[in-house]
Amino acid sequence: MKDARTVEPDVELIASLMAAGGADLKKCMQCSNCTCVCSLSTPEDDFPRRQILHAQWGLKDRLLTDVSPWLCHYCGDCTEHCPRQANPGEAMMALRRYLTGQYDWTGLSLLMYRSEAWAIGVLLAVSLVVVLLFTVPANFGFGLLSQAGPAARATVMLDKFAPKEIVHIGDTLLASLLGVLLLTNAARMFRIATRDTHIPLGVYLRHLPGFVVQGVTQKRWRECDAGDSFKNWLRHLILVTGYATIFLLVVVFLPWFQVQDHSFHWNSLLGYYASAALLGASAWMIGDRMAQSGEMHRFSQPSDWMFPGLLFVTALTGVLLNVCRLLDQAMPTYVLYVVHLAVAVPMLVVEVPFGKWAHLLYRPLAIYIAAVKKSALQTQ
Amino acid sequence: MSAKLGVYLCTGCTIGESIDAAKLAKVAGSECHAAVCRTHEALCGDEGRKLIAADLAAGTVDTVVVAACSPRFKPEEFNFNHGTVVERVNLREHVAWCHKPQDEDTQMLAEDYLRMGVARALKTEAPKPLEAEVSKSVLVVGGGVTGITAAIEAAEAGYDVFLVEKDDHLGGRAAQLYKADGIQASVAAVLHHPRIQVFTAAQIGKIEGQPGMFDVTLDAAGGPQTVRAGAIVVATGWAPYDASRLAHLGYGSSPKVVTSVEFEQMAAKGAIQAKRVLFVQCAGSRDADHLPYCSSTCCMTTLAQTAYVHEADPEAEAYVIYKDMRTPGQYERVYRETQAHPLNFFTKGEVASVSPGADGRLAVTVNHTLLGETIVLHVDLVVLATGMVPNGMDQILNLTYRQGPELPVLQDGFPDSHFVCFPYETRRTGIYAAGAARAPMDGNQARQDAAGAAMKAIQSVELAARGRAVAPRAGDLSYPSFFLQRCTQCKRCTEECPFGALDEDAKGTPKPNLYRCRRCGICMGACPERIVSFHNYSVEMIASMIKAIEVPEEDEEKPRVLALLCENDAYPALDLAGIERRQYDPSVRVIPLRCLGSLNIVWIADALSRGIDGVILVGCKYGDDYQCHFTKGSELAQKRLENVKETLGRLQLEPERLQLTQLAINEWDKVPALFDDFVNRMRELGPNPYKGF
Amino acid sequence: MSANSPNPVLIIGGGIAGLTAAVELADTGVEVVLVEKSASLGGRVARLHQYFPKLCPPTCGLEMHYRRVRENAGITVLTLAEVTGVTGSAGDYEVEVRVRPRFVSEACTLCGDCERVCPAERPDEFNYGLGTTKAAYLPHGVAYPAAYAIDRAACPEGCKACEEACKYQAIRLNAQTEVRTVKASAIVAATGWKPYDAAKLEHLGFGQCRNVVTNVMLERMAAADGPTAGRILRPSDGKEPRTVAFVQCAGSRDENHLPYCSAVCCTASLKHAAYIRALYPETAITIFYIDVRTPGRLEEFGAKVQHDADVRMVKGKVARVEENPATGDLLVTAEDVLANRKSTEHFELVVLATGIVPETEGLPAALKPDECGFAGKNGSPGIYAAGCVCRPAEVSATVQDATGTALKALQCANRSVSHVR
Repeated sequence: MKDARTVEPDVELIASLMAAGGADLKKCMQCSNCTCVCSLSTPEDDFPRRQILHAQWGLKDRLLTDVSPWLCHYCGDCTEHCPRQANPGEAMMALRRYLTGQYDWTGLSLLMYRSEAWAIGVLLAVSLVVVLLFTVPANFGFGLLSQAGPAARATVMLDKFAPKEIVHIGDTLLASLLGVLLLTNAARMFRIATRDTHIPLGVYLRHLPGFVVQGVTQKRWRECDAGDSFKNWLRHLILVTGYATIFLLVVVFLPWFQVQDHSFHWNSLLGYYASAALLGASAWMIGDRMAQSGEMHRFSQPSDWMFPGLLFVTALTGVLLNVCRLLDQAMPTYVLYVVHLAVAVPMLVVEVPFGKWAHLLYRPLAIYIAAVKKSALQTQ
Repeated sequence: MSAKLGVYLCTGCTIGESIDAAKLAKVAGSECHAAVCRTHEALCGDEGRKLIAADLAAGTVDTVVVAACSPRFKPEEFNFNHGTVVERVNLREHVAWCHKPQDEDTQMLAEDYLRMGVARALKTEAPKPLEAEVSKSVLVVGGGVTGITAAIEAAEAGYDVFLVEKDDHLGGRAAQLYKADGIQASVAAVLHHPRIQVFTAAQIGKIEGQPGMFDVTLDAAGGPQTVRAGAIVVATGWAPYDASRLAHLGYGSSPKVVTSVEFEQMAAKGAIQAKRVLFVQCAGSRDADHLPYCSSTCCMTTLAQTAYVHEADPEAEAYVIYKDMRTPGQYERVYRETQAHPLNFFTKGEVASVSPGADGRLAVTVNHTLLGETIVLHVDLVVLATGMVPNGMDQILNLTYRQGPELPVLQDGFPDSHFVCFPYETRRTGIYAAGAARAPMDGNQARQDAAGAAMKAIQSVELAARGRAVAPRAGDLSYPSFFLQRCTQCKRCTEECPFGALDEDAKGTPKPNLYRCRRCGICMGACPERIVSFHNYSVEMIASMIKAIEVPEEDEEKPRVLALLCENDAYPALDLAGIERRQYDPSVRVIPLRCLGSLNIVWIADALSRGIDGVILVGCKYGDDYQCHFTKGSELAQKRLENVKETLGRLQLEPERLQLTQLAINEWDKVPALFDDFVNRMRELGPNPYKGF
Repeated sequence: MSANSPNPVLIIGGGIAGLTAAVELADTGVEVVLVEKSASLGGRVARLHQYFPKLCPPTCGLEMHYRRVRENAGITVLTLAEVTGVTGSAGDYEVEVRVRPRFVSEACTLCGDCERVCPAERPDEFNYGLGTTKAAYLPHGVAYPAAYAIDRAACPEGCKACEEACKYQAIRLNAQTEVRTVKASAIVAATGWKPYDAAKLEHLGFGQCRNVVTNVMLERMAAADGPTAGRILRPSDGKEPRTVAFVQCAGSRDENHLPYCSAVCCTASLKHAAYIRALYPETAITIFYIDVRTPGRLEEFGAKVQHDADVRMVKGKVARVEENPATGDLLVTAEDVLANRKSTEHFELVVLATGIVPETEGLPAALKPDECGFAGKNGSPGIYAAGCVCRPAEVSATVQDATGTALKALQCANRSVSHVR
């Protein structure tokens, strides 16, 4: 047994968890039905019973170093069977929201979780910046278009509206910024979560391939034997591949991907896949959330709606944009281009480093951290 | 006494196929001198009963022996007018259904049973009830929630009540609660009830007498006063466990460690000033070094008190350290609701120490918590959820009983009772314990318990008024009479009566108090001079039944075993063995006893001197978990048997010829092996050398 | 209504609560009509093997009660009877009682000939469906009233074998349902409880895994007159189990099932552990619990049982029970919360400690149920509830409650004749 430790509950932490979805977590009587019905909870990485206890007691230190909220895929079995109706699944969700805020060094994440006004304000602000980018400068967007003369208004000539060289620079800058934010947050997550364990370098290396495989395949969903696990895995897989594709297309291969005219190009095919994937997966998620199908969707917070909602609108505007382009509707194409980016950019800015998107990185990372911690403990 | 004996043999239910009824009728006629002997194939039917009724009406018969099924069946069918002695001989369950049909041994068994039944019938008189002037008032001792409720409930049923309280006001511990639940209204109701006379600041000087006629001397402010009551409800309540014995929990060393009772008073005074309050459950309870039992109420008390913490300061935190949260029944919902408060913290754990900590706080160290390690909590106040100690059976009643002034205690200071089936029965007839004096319970339960005890008190006076016994032989009209001229003042009866019914005069002669008597016959069994007998149950009666057993000569190689059975449990078990058609050795002759404690050792001497090879006693389980309806019967029988065994040696008899077996009513499946093994052992020992003397 | 004797008190339910109320009232001198819906008295306790904490047989106390009922002319027992309507007011109720035919009269001698010739079988309700009885059946060995009954629903068309076999003309297969009106001064409803339907606990395997039984079934197995003659055997192969797991709170303390604690199951499982250990000294017991609830002096009993090294207590609720089809063994998933270790263990027999559900069928409308479904104690002056229909309780507490409620009825009866001493 470890030495006696002074326990100082963080009352504010409890209040914030209860506000962020864990409203019923205090009702838990520690029967551990949740941990036992969960097919992802293992003897080594057990949850959610223990995490809920820590949340009930406001034990910040223990919660911070614990990555298991990310190991939960929220199948909802625990909540469905909780004898206390303490809603453990949603308590884990609340913990993820809390942890996302804790990993984020800018503090924006926390602000946005705590306040809807902040979240919407940031989104609108970024949207506005995008719109302004297309409307204010003389040599870009509508300014450029007005210089290009009537031809560019009669037929689609994206070069005359949003030259891909410029967009590519913007893309890259944005990607770099978000990447830096996300990675620094991820690094913080790493540091926070591993600070209670000494992990040798070899262990890190040994588990690296698993990290990559999980990140790409989302295979952990398949380990979950809850009723909807296949569905959940499938749409996460679709989402991740769609994302990866569009990311690569937009950030790396934009000059090749962004076609300038209204003709069909083979290089758009991947874009079509990505659009379909993102559109389908987000619509599916929104539909389930609206129908409250399954435990996972019974309790939705604004932040839960925001991500799939924005994703859907992004994909939809992307598709519409492409349709207009193929129909050679020049002005609608340009307008939709702006709308598309006015949705996509804020979504990425807000969700990638600060919001729900982050879990696409945090989860594989958490699985990795859990694995290396376990290994490290075993080697010790 | 020349009884006109009628013997009626039933041949139904395969009795007729099993034994030769004609031969049995011959025994009735030639040996038993029956005036009438009739055989019918269904005596319990209309036709059969008419046969008997006609003989009774004609006056040719006044004593009836029905040889048919077990007396546990068809009692109404064979109940003729009052005053007619009807004796039942169990030819069905104990003969036909459990022994080989058309067999010599079976026939001998049936004949013996008939002889024994006739012997019993001839020694039976119809009992006449006791008659005396009986008070139907109820004395309630204790003016807390239980006593108040008992008083009101009894008064509302139409009985006069005397309520005695040692303090100068009513209400007890309930009145000291911060949020007392209607206790003041109940106090007012008691004070204004026309049937209730309240004595506050009063104690009981002494109680003399017996149910229906307790003379109670009260030491009250105005000097001693005597009232007569018929029954007594003891509602003396509880006291918190002495927290000064809980030094390891810091009590006494810091004013910031209080008991839940003290915390309640702090709440009432608005004196709770603490940001953090920690509740220690089972403070003294569930602890081999303190109270081994669970005090049942402390978990609920603590849940209520966490609300006082938040009421005093909405930002204050409440910690509850429990062994197991115990909120049975609908109380579970209270637990869940209390848990939901964001500033309530619960964990299983064991408080190892409470010591001064930083900033003038207390550092509480808790082992084995759900948090997986030993934790230290710094708190402003520690509340010990101390347990309930029954307010004892000490200098309360001051009974002038030979066996002592108070209710006998079984364990942990609670009054002795058969606490599963008959929770109110104590070992003092007409005196019933209620509320926390009887078992740990909360106010709600205490109210219901008070009503139950009041019911029992009323019942006991009503039964006394009709000259009848109370439980377990409720309604019995028989009672013991003592032929005191032959008494040798050995005091065995006065010592052994489990109910303290017998007092003594200065010389040690018993002074029976028949209204205290439960009619078990333990005094009858205890008496070496055989001076105690009932109208329908006596030493002589059983002795004559033993004498009625025909003991075959040694060379016939037919052993005989006498089985004395408790009629409450062992006898029905034997019936069940018969109903299940279990077969066993036909050498056993069964005589039921009211209680094995009524065993008089003279019967053993009678049996052995008549050449019976062995005597087996079958009675209820004894010890801490006793099942004896009279608490001590089978245990006393065992003691007497041990004494007899010592003397057997002098008579050149093996002690193995005597055995007492404890058998529960549902262990009927063990009956065949029990009897077969015993008979076989007798065969191994060889015949009783006294055969033929 | 005569000036001196009140109407009888009508008691609904012949289990331990109803029987206690009946006997206590009758001993006090009040007439009682006891209405029982099944063919014999004793209710749930008659189906128990032993009471805790003394490990003593219920039949011991029941035998005493039956003796009082037999001998006290003030008690009228109506079996196979149900209350179908109540009119009137305190002191002077008119109660409509529907009495279904037993098809066997008081002339029955228990000879058993009807049972021997009966060709039809029916599920043995008394043994919770473990085994069958004939359609002509004796409810159980110490049944009161001591008479056979015939389950006509199970009889083959036109069969009269029993009627013809009965030597005592006790069988009347054409008997009809009777509706009686009973005058009553007060009504005590002691309709009791039923075990929670274990099939609703889908994760715990009852009905799917052969060797998952309920606590009430175990009681019948342990009884000498039960379906296995007192031996505890696995239903799948009749083997004596060497490892037994008890799953506490099977339905109780669960907002999705029973939101209250059934109060008796902890001590009951400890009792089961005690008698299984006595029966099979080589069998190891594991009890999975949330909180061990052995209130009052039951604590000492519980502590004694837990002192046995082969009775293991695991704090943690069982979430899943699955069967190994090859062996019939059971895989039980639970977390030992104190050790923070989730595991799946093998057991040869699993006993679900199913909870108490109030039996509200036949409860007078005046007794409104609380949020947990239990009857309120006092419906109107004159109609009272007693026993487990009010709250889950062990026998002693039920007897206590019934005795107190009997006084309420006595008050009502006495008031109705202004019989004041």
